[in-house]
Amino acid sequence: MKNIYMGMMALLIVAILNAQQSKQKGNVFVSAQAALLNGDDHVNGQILLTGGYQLKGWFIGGGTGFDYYKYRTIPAFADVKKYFGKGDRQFFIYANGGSNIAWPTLNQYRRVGWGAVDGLSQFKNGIYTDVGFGYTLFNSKKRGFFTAAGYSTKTLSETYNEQIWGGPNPPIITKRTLEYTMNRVIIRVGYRF
Amino acid sequence: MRYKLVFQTCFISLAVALLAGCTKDTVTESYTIFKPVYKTKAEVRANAKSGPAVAVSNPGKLFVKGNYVFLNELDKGVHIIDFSNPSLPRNIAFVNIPGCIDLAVRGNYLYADCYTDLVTIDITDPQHVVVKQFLEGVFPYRMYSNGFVLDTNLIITEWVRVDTVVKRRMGDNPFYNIRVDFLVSANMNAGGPSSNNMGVTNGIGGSMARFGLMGDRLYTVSWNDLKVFNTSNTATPAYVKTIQLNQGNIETIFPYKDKLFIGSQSGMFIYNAANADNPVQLSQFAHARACDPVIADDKYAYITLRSNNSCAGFLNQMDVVDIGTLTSPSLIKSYPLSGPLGLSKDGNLLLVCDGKEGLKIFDATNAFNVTLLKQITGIETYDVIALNGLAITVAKDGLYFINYSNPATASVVGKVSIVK
Repeated sequence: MKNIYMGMMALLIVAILNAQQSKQKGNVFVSAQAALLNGDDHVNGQILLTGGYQLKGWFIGGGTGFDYYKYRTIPAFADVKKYFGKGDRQFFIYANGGSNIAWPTLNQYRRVGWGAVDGLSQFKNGIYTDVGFGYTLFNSKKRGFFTAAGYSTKTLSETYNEQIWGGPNPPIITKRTLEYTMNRVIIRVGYRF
Repeated sequence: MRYKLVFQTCFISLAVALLAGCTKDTVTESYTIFKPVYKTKAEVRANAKSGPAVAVSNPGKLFVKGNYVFLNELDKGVHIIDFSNPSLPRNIAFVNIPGCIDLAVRGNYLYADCYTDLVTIDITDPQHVVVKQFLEGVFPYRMYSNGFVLDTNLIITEWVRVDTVVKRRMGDNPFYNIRVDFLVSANMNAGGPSSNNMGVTNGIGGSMARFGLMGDRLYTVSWNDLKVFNTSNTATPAYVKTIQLNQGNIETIFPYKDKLFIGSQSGMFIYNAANADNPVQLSQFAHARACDPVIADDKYAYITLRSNNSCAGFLNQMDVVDIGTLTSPSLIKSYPLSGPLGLSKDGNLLLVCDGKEGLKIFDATNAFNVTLLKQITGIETYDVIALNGLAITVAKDGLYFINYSNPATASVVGKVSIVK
């Protein structure tokens, strides 16, 4: 986590240094994005749809989509971007933060035990964050492709009941909670409409 | 401008470098473990004595002798309950027997398991019992797995709850520290010939029993074997032999006359115990996998099959099996139930504990048409002993005394409550 904060701080410093650059006219944009998530011995995909308002190099909006890294989830987040320079080719940095809504597939649920603990585990939502930088390949209307790279964390928790055998008699049912934290490097391509 | 670009590039490179090394996924796992507390055998034996009555908390199996119910407190001991007046049953004493889950009563002696040992206790004065004998190591299956192999001189007497939090790397197939039960124990039972030539009478056990008395022999079943004990000398029973059964999953034993009806999760075995020290298998009646207490009379065996529990399976019913020809038992009819457990028979009346649906009293005059006469609802029943119009029933919230002299108006007359 310490490294994550340091990385975010570095990006924030870059954003502050360039805060007074742009004189663009405000406009609303929507972007469709696809990403590869490269994490702990695991690569999965993510698709997002974001939208928001851009003024003077600053973009503020929100987004949602599907994140398939290990557990299927729906990130729902606020999206802030800072574009640097003028013209169609721009460097930008971004930060996303919000909720990670658990929506696991059936085989991602844990099927537990017999009898008193029969059933599936339960998931609870967690947090979604994503920070990074990118480069635009826009046309003259500030629309077009862009690419980005970043670092994302998502969390969620899973709970299920389990029966303790081989110990107290009669067996006791207890709760087990697993809080997952998944960290990924993201490579992203998108198209801004 | 040039310096600013260099500055930006340096910061971004630093950020990417820092973040790239942070792709370890973690899981923080919160769960509960139970740590065993050990005592030496000498300490345990010194504590095997009666004391004042204590509240019933986790009741197990029961045995009836005279006006007393001997009710197991799981892994703790035996409650002695005087039901001379069934409307006002009195919990009069508690015999502390660590590791006890099965029991039988013969004459003035209580036989119970004490983890791997068989303990014999003189209960002539229930409030001042006397330990007469420990038969050591006769129930070797009563040991704990997962690292808790019992030292020969140490016994686990209680478990201490420990809430644990562990942070570890998250794998694709994380290993979860679920403890698995390899604990198999010997238990108690029911109605073989009730006395021997010495006039010593046997108590009556429930159908969930793993201990069974027949004449002066005590039979016990564990996971896959049948043990024979000679109780001719009631104060000092002697181990006779162990008979390996053909398969595991053995659950209950019900002696009837000179036959032993053994319930397993996959069927019922009938053993001929005419030679009391050397029972031999006569036949097997197979059924789908389920828990299955069994009782019998001269013509029929009644087997309850229960699922949705640790026995797996998918059946909840009672099978009536024709045992007119003991070497080839055959199914007469199956009756659907909701989650049957123990059962007992009194004449033509059949009493069945049907889990959350309570106690059901059937007319079993015609095995082809067993009909429900009365259902006692509002209690979650486990096991029952029918005694001439009085049903002593272990339920989730207490020990119930139910008068069924007139089955149509059967009702609860007394209760010993469970205090959690």
